[in-house]
Amino acid sequence: MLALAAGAALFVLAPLGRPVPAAAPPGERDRLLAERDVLFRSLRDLDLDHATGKLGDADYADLAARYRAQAIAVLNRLDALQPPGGPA
Amino acid sequence: MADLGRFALLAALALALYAIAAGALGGRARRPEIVLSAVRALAAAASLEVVAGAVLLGALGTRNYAFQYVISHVSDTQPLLYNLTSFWGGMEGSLLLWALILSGYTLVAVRSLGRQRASLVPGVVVVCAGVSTFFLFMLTGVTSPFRTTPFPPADGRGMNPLLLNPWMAIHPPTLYLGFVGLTVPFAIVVAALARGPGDDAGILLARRWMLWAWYCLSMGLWFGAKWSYVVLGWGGYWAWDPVENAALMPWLVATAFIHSVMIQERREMLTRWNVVLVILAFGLSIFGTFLTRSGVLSSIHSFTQSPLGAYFLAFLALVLLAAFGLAAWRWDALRSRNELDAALSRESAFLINNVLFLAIAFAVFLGTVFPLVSEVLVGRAINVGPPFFDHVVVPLALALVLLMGIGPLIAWRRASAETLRRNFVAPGAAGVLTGAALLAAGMRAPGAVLAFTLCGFVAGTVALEFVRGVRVTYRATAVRHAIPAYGAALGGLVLRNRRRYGGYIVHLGMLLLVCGVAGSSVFATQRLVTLAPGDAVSVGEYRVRFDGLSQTTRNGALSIAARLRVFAGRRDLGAYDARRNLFLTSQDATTDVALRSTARDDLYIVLTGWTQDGRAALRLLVNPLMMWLWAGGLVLTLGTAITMLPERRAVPRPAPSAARIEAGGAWSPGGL
Amino acid sequence: MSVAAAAITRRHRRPLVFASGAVLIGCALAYLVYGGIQQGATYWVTVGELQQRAATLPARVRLGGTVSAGSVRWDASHRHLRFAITDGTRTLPVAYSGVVPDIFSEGRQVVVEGSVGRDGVFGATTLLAKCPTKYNPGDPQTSP
Repeated sequence: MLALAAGAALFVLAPLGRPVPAAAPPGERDRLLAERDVLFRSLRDLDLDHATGKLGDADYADLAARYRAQAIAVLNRLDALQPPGGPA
Repeated sequence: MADLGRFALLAALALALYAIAAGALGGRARRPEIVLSAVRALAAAASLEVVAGAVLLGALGTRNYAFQYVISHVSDTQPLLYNLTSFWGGMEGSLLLWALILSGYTLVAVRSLGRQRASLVPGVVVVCAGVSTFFLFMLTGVTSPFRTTPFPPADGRGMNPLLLNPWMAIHPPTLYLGFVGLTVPFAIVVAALARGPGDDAGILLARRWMLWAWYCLSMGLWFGAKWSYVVLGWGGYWAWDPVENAALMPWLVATAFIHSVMIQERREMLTRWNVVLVILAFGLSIFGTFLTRSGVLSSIHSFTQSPLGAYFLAFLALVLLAAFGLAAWRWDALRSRNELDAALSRESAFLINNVLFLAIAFAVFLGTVFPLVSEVLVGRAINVGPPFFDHVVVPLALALVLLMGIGPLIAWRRASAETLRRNFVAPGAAGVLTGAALLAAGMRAPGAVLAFTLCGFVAGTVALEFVRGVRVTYRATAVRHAIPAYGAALGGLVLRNRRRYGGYIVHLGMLLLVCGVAGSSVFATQRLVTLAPGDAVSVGEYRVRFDGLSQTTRNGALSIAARLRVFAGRRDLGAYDARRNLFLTSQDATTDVALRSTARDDLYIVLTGWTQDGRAALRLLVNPLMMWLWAGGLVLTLGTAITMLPERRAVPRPAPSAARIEAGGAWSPGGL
Repeated sequence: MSVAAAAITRRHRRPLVFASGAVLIGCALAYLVYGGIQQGATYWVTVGELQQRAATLPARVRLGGTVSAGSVRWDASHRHLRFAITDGTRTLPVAYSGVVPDIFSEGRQVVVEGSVGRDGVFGATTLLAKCPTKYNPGDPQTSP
């Protein structure tokens, strides 16, 4: 039992001796990616709703335009965060 | 061995306390190494809990009667499997199982959060360690599984034989996976609230955990109902008992959350409401544990019975105060960014859905604690039984069924009255036809007719959704590839819209459940007879002939069986036995029901007693559509599995442009 | 009406629609709860209370107690059960015909619902029995 206790204590206290720099807070990039995913999903649902006849043409056009504009804005901001042509 | 177990739990408690301190400190000071130490402490605590669990399991498996727990739950004649599953059959073991599951979940959560949102890890560590501390405190200070006796008896008492059943073996762990599963979303949300005014209070991260916990609660309830039906021999599966309600309430809140979180995902609204739901769900799960253990409601004058109840209540109060306090502190920061676009939209349908679910949860809660409330208010304990629950819950549930059908017909953001009207026609016709057909066939019970009509309507809606979706997918993919079969289109449709179509399948499962409940509640037929050998009785469309009693000894029990032969018209449907088992060492008895299940109905026969001259007292029930209820659970599993498959991430393109988005199917904009 | 104008009108109407919807459901709930309580409420009593304060209690009550040793009797057809319920000091005879839970036996805690007949015997319409262990993972059994 003592061995268990000693082992556990060692295991638990070991990291305290090795300070690590704090990770960077969730960046702009992660937030934008999340927002992009939400917009894409919304667009997909919108198309499905329109194709299955739940959304009228006028409403669809209006909402689709809005979502697309937002998506374009997000994608442009994502582009701006990294040099174009670099890895996504 | 007992010493090892006690030591392990005590050490785990110490480590959990350390984890709280280190997690809080490390989070505050933003020193990852301290947080890592806290996580390691939790991992070490988990290992120690496993050690303690192994000690208990070993004692149960080897029938070590030095342990009091083993004496109460194990006996020489009890099968090994049940000796082992009695781990969670008693208070101490079930608390240990709770702690074990919580540790497991904590480690998984920390790992996945480390990748997704590392800033929340310290908070989650603190909250989970805090809850663990409570349970470990109970296990070390209040009710230890490792109490021993200096004079071990020759044999143990064994569990009540009613619990020696596979359904009862699996019911508690499944339920705990659900109850404990609600702790993690709670921890995530509290951590997010403490961390700072974030955008979504961790709700979106918590979603998958809530879904998993919801699923486990669903199956736990299903197993419990199955056990009640098959083992208890009263012909029913749900009695609105406080213990049953204790599991139902968090399930209702979790179901509401699953729907309202979709609104938050799309529109960044209802954050505050979702935070409240997550806290409420966790609170109800602790409350449920409290109800089940304190015995405060199953009998009168029972606060004196178990001091454990007081501890649970205190913990619950502390947790709720702290969590709601945090939420109140961050209230303004959680304000919604958007508003509802239209009164007629899927969002508003989901809102009504939430209100209804919470209304049912409130009603169930009120009915459950009514004796306590009335004692305080009126000085008298007043009980409200199943009639109360049926009276209140059934109409609300039917309203929910109606909503299940209307929801899919409405689009997100907004729907226009004409599209709704157009889409309503086919499913509405399906519902009306169902109702008309039933009325024509002679069904007169208004509640049942309404229930089946609504089910027909919802089934029509879901079918319409599938048909339309397949047609759209078929056309879209036909454009790009060679013409695929409709089956492939269906597969593609479901896989590309997993949440929506998985959800529809879950709804179908719920429809089956509603039909099963309606059929068996409204149209059950019962006969109570005493028969001499050779006599027969008619019940429903069956004729049952009693062929005599037989007696055997099995597993330490005297088993008396009524041999029966079942006929439908001229067809011989086989021989069935309705048994009663009388246990020789204890005063216990169990019933083995003679059960014949078909898709149409269940024939359910119980031997209630017998006379000296060989006559048998039998209770015969015909429960229509029972199988649909059980099938509903399986369909629900399938639907949930589909929903939980991770959504394929949109493939990032190197040089996106507006043109790219316009062309080529905004259908799957991220590519396949 | 243009889409924008329609949207503005909708926005004005929305809070009212939701408030009235919520109020409607709330009223429905209150109505149902009231009706449910009327239907289902019974007083909890012990044997002592029932015998002492019979006049002040409503006819139907819920009685909790223990099954007296040696008091369980079945009739010839094994359909009608008689036993005595006690709170430790006083005892009351009970008659019951219906589903008897498996846990039911002498010395066990039970709850019966019904009323005292003119012959002083408590006619029970519901019989529930509680598991003797402190922690009962299954529910106490019930019978309608």
